[in-house]
Amino acid sequence: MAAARANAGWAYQRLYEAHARPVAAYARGQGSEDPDGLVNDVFLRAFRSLDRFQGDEDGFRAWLFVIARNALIDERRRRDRRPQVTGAVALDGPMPGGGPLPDGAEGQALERIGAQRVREVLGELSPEQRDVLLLRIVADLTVEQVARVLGKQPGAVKQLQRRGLDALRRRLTDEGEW
Amino acid sequence: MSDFRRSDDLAADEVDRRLIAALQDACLEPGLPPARPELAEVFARGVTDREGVVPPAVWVPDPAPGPGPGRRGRLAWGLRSRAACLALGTAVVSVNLVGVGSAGLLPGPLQSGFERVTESVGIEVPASSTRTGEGRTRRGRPPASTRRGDPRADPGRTAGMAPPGASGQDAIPPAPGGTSDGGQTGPGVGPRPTGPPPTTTTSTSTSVPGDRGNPGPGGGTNTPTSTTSTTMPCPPGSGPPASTVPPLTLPDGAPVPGPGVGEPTRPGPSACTTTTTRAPRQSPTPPGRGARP
Repeated sequence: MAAARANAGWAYQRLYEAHARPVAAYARGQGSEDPDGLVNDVFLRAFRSLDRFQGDEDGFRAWLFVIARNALIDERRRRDRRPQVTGAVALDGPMPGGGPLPDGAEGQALERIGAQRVREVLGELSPEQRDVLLLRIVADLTVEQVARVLGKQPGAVKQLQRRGLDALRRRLTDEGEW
Repeated sequence: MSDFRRSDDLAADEVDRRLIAALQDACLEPGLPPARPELAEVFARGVTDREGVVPPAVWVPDPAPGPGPGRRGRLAWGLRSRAACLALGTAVVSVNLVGVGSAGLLPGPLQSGFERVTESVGIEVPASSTRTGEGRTRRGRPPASTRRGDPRADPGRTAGMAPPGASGQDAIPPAPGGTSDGGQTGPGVGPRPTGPPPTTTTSTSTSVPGDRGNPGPGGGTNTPTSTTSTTMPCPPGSGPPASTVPPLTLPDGAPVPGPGVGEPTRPGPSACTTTTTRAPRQSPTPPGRGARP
């Protein structure tokens, strides 16, 4: 972090390599149309504003998700202004950002379909439950960090994650997958 | 992201653990997202343009402008603020004092001192001695009527700039934006209440038909006049003190009546009379107001 504050390019790259993947996963779980582009945007914003950030790398990780959440909100607003062909969440088609299926890999295709179904169910949760589950499970933040990112109390975060997990479990077990 | 220890406490049973693992697999993909040219340039050369867009959740505000860190900085800031407060307070008190003094509302000695100061610098102040409606001025001098035969004379008001105690036979209200006595503005403009003038002289006025004088609204019964002499108070110390001046009496021995009913006063034996006619003075007084010679 100190090297990044000193505007060292290699330090930026190290930070990107350490945190870009969970940020992309968070964007993907939130249904971003372009997760990779959003990750680039998030890191550019973070690096350009790094002189205003105070904290260690753990705090930087939480800060990245704050930026990512705001970027997702902006993306949804832009998407809502555009004329829509399908619903807000494309539950019937492949999830945005899922990428093409690998050729000739039946096992991978089945696995991808299972992952796709999980993301679909995730999209059926309330936005707050989805936020908490993604930040806790995918971004691997603590309850306190999630509370700071979302501006909620830790108790509220725990309640949301429990209810979200229960809803996810209920939907998937009803389909006999679990 | 090799392990997810922080979310381990989420799993209450085996089903939860499988659910969490499935969620991670559904969102996480192998490999890093490719860095686009703009980000790759940052990796190569660092950030060249900083910006201030920071989410408010973890935004660290800039230090407030003001004193620098440290005890000396705080001390300097405190001294500056105290000096500023003192200067502001002094300015407010001065402005208030000047305003009250200009209105003639200061206590007697203060007002007289204020008038002396303002006279010395050439600023005219309305006489405070005329602010009475009870037959006595604030200084204790009995005001006298200024308008001969004009029942509307109001000695409680001083519209003109006559000095305290000045007398005048002609009460010419100020014309808005103009002069009243033949183009000459003088101290006789406006209804001038006059008291016994132990230190002042009378002004000799003549009525000239067709004069350019403008009686103005609310003017007296007199015709426009042309003042040929001006009235000045005696300089301080040149005449007998006000407290030693005997009461003014009429020729028949009767005392001078109260305001609005008396006759024009006459100069006392110790009055300072100037009979010079002065041209209008270039003074900062607004047009239509009498300029004091």
